Amino acid sequence: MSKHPLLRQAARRWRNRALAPYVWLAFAIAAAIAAAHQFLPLPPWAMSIAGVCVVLALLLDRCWRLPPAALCTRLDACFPQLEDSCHLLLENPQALTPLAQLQRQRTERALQALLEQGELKRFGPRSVRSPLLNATGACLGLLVFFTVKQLGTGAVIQVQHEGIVNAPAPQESAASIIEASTRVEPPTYTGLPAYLSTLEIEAPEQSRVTWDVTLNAPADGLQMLAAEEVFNFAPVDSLPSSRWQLTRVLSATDFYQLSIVPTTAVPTAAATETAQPVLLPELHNIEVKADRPPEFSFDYPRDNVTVLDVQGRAQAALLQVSVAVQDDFAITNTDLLLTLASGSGENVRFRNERIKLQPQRAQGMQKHYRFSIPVERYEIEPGDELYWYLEARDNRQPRANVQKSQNFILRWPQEEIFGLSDTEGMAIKVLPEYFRSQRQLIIDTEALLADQQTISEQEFRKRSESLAYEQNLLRMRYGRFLGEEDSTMEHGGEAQGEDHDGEEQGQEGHGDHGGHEEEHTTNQQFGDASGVIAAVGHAHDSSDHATLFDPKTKELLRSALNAMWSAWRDLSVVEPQASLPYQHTALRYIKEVQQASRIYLQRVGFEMPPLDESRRLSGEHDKKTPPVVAGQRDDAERAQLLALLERVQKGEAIDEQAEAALRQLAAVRDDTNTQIALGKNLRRYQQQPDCADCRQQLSALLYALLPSPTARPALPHAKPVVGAFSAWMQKNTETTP
Amino acid sequence: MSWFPLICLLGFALSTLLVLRHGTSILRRFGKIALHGVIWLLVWSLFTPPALLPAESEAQLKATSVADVNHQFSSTQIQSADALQIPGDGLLRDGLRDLPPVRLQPGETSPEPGWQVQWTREVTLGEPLRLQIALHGGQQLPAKLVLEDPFGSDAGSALLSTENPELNLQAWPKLAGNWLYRVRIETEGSPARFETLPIVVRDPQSPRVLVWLARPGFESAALARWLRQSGTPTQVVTQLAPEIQRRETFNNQSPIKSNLLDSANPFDLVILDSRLWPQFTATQRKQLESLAANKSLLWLVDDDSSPAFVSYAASHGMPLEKSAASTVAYGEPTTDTETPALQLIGLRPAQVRDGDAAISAGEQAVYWARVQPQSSLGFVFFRNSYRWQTAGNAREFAQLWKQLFDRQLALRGEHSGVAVSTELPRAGERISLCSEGFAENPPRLHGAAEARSGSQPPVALRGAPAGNGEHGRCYSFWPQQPGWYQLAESGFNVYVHGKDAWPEWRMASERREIQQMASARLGPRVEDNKARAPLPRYWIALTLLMLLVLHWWRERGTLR
Repeated sequence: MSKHPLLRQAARRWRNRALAPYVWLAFAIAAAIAAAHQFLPLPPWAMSIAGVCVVLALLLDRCWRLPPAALCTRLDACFPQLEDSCHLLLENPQALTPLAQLQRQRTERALQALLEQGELKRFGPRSVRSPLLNATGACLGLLVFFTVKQLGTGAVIQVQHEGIVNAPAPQESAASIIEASTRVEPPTYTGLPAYLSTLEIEAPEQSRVTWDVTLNAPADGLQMLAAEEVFNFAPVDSLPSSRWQLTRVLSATDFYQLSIVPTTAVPTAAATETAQPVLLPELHNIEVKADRPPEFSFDYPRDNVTVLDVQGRAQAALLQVSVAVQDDFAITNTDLLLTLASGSGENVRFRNERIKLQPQRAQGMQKHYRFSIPVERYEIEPGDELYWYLEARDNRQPRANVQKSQNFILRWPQEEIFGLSDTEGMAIKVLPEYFRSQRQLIIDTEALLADQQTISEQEFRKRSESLAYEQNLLRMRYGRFLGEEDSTMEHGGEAQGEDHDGEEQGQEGHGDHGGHEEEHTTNQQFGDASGVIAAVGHAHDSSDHATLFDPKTKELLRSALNAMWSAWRDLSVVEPQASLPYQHTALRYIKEVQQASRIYLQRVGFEMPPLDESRRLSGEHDKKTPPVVAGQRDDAERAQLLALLERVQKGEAIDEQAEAALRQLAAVRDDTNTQIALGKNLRRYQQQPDCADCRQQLSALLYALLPSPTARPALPHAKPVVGAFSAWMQKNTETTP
Repeated sequence: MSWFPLICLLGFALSTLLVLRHGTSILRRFGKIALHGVIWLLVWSLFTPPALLPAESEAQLKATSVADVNHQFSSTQIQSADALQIPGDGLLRDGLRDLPPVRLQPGETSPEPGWQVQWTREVTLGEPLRLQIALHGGQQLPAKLVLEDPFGSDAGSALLSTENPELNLQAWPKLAGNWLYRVRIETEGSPARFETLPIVVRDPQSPRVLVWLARPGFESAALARWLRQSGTPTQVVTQLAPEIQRRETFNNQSPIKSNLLDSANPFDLVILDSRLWPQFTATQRKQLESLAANKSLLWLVDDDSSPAFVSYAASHGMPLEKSAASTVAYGEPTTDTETPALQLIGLRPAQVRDGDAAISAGEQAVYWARVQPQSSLGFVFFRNSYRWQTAGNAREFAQLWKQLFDRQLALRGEHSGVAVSTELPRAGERISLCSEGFAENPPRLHGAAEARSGSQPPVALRGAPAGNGEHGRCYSFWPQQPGWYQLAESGFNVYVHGKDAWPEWRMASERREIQQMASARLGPRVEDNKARAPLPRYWIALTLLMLLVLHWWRERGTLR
C-alpha cells in the first residue's frame, strides 16, 4: 500500500468503485432468490451457492486490489493533468533530483486538485469485467436451473393436486353414482335371511332385490337396461331426485347397465346439451342360483331289475329299499309309484298305485327312507312285472320341483316266452292283419316248394312274386322302426327299371300317403327326420320308437332287415329255395328283437298328454307335403356366423336383424350362459366401437360358437413326394392309425 | 525371412574361414567348425523352430461357437487337435457345419429340460391340429401347458413333468387361413409365458365322386350322407335289383345317365361295390381296366364277392385271400364314447408290396391301395363303419373315410410341395426351402404379415442356392423379422419365430444335432506323421547359450 496520502485516497476511490458491482450483484441475487422463494420451493442452499459464486469471483478479480505502481499507471492514464508523473509520488523525495522533486510537487498539486474537484469519483475499473460477468452468469444460471426444475416438479404436483381436489369435478359435470347398494331378500321358503350386496348380485331364484342408488346430482330418471328388458327406477324424493330405488324379483341369470337421465330443470345451454341419457359403461351381473330338484341316493337295491320267485321264497331281502333324498332347501314329501303289468299278449293289464312314504329320519336337508315294496298287495302270477320308482317334491314356491327316481323292475318270469308268433308280443302292435308274418311266409314258401312239381311254372312264378311282395312289405314295415334309409323321404333321385312298381305298391299300404309326394317344396337337412312326421302330421308310430331301442336291439333289427332283403331278392327272381335260409335268419332275429323289445316297451307307462281344448276343430285342411331332403350341403349357420365374425373383425356395426338371427342359433338358444355372455359382449361392442378388447372378446365368442367342421373329402394340395426315403417314411406313417 | 538363412550361412562361412586360418591340428579345427556350425544352426532355429516333437495326440480344444474357434485357435492347432469339445448343450446344425473338420466331443449337458415339439403345421378344415411335446433330457418341473386358439380361448391343457414326459393336445381349427395358436406355459413360481404355434388351414377342394352300390344298406347310406353333408359333388347309383337303379346327385354334380364307368367322366374317385362284379358287362369290365389305369378306383369289398372279382384283383397284382371274419378296434380311444369295433370281411390282402398305401388296425388291414403316378386302385375291407355315426362317433367316421380318400387321391395334387428343412425357423437364422417346383431363378420370400399391414416396411428376401435335396432344389433365406412369409411363386407360407422362441425345443435340437454330428464325424483315426509340434524356443535359446559359454571357455585364452 502506498504511503502517500493522496495515493491512498485515490486507491480507496478505485477500490470502492471496483467493489460496487459485486455489492449490487449480491443484493440482486439475494433479492431474486428471495423473490423466487416466495413462488417456488427453492432449496435452502441456493443462497449459499450464489454467495460462493460471488465471493469466488471477487477473489479472482484483481482489479479492485491494484498494486501502487499499477494504480499510478491507471491515474496517469486517466488524468493527463498528472503529466505521467504519478510514479514520483511513490519515490522518496530526498532521493529525487531537484527537477524530479519539482515535478513531484506539481503532480501532488494536480492530484490534490483532482481530489478536491471530485474528478476521482469516476476513477475506477470498467463495470463489465470477466469475473463479474461470470459470477452474474453463474448466479443467473443457478436461478434459472432451480426455477425450471421446480416448475417441472411443481407442474406434476399441481396436476396431482388438481386430480385429487377436482376428482368430484367430473361428477359435478357428468352424472354418476356416488353410492349404490342392493338388498337381497331370498324367498321365504328357503329360510335364508336377507342380506346386503353390491351391484354385482348373486341370489337364489325368486329373490326380491331392491336397488338403492344415490346419484351425484339430481336427475330426471334412472333406468336399468337388462339383457332383454328395461326397468325404471322410482325416485325416493321429488323430481329431480338424487336417490332412486328399484325392486325386482329375479327369476333367471341376467346382466344390467344403468342409464341416467340428467335433469333439465335448470334451463341452461349446458343442461340442454346434457339432457341425453348418460349410459354408465359398467355391466353388472345378476347370478341367479336355481333351486335344484331333489336328488336320490339309493343304498339298495343296486340293480334295476330284480327277478323274484312267485312262491315268495326268501325274497323279503330283495324287496327292501333304502334311499336318501336330498334337496338344497327342504323335501316336503316322497311317494312310491307302483305299476303292475300282468297278463300276456294283447291281454296285458296295468295297475297304478301311489303310496306316500314316511321318512325314517330327517337330517338337515336330507331325508332317509327305508321301506319294503308292498308286493303282498297284489296277486302275482308268473310273467307279471312290477315297475316302481320314487317321486319327491321339494318346498319350492309357487311350484314345487318334482323329481322322479330311476325305474326299478321286479320280475316274476314265466316258464316259456318262445313259441309265440312273430307278430305276437311285439310291443308295437300296429301291424295290420293283412301283413303276413315271417313265420307265415316261411310256411308259404315251403308249401310253394312242395307244390312246385304239381303246379305250372306260371303259377309258381306268380306265387313266388306274391311272396316277394309280402316279404318286401314286411321288410319295409320293420325298416321304419329304424328309420331305414330306403324311403322316399331321403331319396329325391330318380329310379329306373321295371320292378319299381314294387316300391310304389309298398307305399300304398299307407293309405292316402301317395298324394303326399306330389309337391316337394320344403327343404330339410339331410338326416334330420324329426320334421318329417311333424310336417305330414299322420304318424303311424311315434318317432320315439326308433330311438327307444337299445343298440343291441337295433343291431338285431338291422340284421333281420338285411336277411329280409336277401329273401325278397331271391323271391323276386323266383328262387324261393334260395330265399328260405334268409327267411329263417330273419325270423330268428325277429324273435330276439321281440324278446328284447317287449320287456323294454311294456314298462314304459302310457301317459296321456293333457288335451288342449282350444285347438279342437281348428286344424287346417291344406295338403301337407313331406319335406324333401336338399341335395345341397346346407351350412347356413356356419355361413351366418362367419359373416358376422368378419363384420366384427372389420369393426362394422351389427344390425338388429343379424343380432336376432344370432340369438336364434341352437347353440345360443339352448344355453343361458351363452345367451348372457353374448348379450354382454354385443352390448359392449355396440356401445364402444373403438374398444379393441370388446371386439376381441366378441370375436372369441363367435369363434367358439362356430361349429367345428367335420373332415371332408379333399383333393391334395401338393403332389406326393417321390423318392425311396419318402416312400419309406410314408409307409411307416401309413401303417400307424 | 529368406535373408536370415543367408546371413546365418555367411556367418558360418566366415567362422569356418577364421577357424581354418588357426594353426591348430586338423582335428581341433574340424571340432571348432562343427561347434560353429551347431551354433549358427541354433541361431537359425531360434527364428524358425523346427517341428521335431510328436504332435499332442490327446489335445482337445474347447470352444462354444464357430467364432470362438476361429478366434482362439490357429489352423495348426486345429489340425493337430484330437477333438473339439463343445461345452454346454451344443450347437444347431448350421453352426456345427461351419466348424473345422475335427472330431466333436459333446460337453456335459445342463440340467435344463429340452422339449421335442411336433404339430400338424398344415391342415384342411375338419382335420385336427395335433400337438405333441415330449421331454428330451433335463429335469422338468411340473408345467401346465395350455393350447389356446387364435382368439385366446383354451382348447386343451396337459401337464408336463419328469414323471409325465409326454403330452398330446389337439384343437379343431374352424377357419381357413394362416393362424397363430399359442401354448401358454404355466410353471409354479414364475409368470406364464407364451409360445407360438403357426398353422396353415386350407379350405378343402372337393373331389368329384361316383359311388355305385350293389344294394342299399346302412354303410352305403352313411357314406352317401357324409359325402352329401360335406359338400362333395357326388353321384350315388344304387342297384335296387337287376335292371333297377336309383340315381342321386348331390352338391351340383350333373347326373351321368349312361356309361358310368367311362374314364372320360369327370369323377376324381370311383367307388364300386365288389358285389356288382357279376353284373358288369364285358364292356364295363374293359372300362374298369381303363379306370384302374387312369383314375382312382376304390372297391368296397364284401363277403359275397364273386371269385371272378378276386381274380380281377389278382390280375392287378393285388391278390386277396380268404380269412376269418373278425372285428378290430381302430382309432384312438376317446374318453367320452367308445368307438364301435370295425367288422372286417372274410378277405384280406395276400401280398402287400413296399410302397403300397394301407390303413391297418393292429395286424389287420382295413384298407389297401396301390397308388401309381397316374392311377390308384384300392380295396376297403370293413363294412360297418356306419355304426360309428349312430354311436355318436360321426367325427371319427369322417376322419376314417377322410384318411382313406386322402390316400386314394394322393396322385391328384397339383402343386409342388415345398419342404422347410429347418425344424424351428427363427429370425436371424438360415432357413432352407426345397421344392421340385423351384427353377434356377432364386425364389423370393415376401414380407411378413405385420409388414403388409404397414407397421413395417415390406420385406422381400432373395434365396441363395443351397444345392439339391430330397425334395428338389433348395434355397436358403435369412429372414431378420419374425412373422409370416410367403413364397410369391407358389403361395407357400412359412412362419418365422422370434429369436427367443421355444428355448426348450432349441436346447433339445442342439443336444440331438451335436450328438448326430459327433457320430457322423467319428471316422477312423489317421496317423499323420507330418503333424509334428515345433521345438520350444526356450530350449533352443538355452542350448545356444550353453554352446556359446562352452565356446567362450575354450577360446578364453585367445581372447587375452
